[in-house]
Amino acid sequence: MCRKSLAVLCLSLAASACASATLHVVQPVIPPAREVTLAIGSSTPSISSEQLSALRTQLTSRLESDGISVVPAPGANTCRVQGTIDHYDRGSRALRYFFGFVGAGKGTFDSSWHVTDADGKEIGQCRIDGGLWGGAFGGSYEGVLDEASKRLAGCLLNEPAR
Amino acid sequence: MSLERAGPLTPRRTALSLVGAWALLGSGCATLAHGTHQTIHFESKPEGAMLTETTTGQTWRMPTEVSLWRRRHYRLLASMDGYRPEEVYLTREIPFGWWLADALTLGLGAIVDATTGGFYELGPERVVVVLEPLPPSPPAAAP
Repeated sequence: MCRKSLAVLCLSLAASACASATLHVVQPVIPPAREVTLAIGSSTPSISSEQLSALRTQLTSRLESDGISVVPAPGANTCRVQGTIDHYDRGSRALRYFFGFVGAGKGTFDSSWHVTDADGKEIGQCRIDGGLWGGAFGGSYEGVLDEASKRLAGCLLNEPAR
Repeated sequence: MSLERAGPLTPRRTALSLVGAWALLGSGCATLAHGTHQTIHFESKPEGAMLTETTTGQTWRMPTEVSLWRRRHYRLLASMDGYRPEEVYLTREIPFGWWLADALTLGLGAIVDATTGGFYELGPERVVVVLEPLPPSPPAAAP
């Protein structure tokens, strides 16, 4: 009985490590964007300038790791990536820790992205939505942002399965 | 206390001793395994921007690798003449593996790791800061 309870507890803990992000491609980025400028705005007041700055750092670092060059000023072959954070809710880590299994304290992240080429023509569009339901000590919202960063790289490289 | 007075070594006592030894030996296992500091690589575009740790005022020129104490929150400022300064925030996480390992040491490990900061992972490990050029300032009006 005791062993069964322990096993159930361990499985619950492992299963509750849930941070995910989903990519919805509205218009595939063709050709893939390998050199971009990145601008991020927000349509929600729930994200502070500090959080926006941290998000920009996280996205830039991830895109660079995935082979996409983020440059300060556009050149002849540079695509412009304009992102809008539509929903940014970090949820409650304490609620997730204790009651995450019933969906309490859930964190959410919704964003939309437009890619234009050097001539200003739109060459791609996508939405990235993410959520966090639990994890160690209630899970971390940064996990969602990391997943969202990976999805953005997938969108820009036209590799949605990435 | 002599061994004779401690009584015979029963399976129950053996198990308790092993659990106690595990809890003590495993204490602060994250601290022991990967130390209290983590090396983070910083680079800027364009190269050569200054990176300032806002709390201590310590500065580095990018690209650079900096050994940072895992326990602290970091807010840094990247700056360069002619470019808009950019704030950099590092995240601090407790990976599930360390959390579980510390739980198995009956909480002793968590106390040690929380004190030293050993179970935190700072991120991202490679930080790329892109600085936006400032718009050219208008020429000063002639007197």
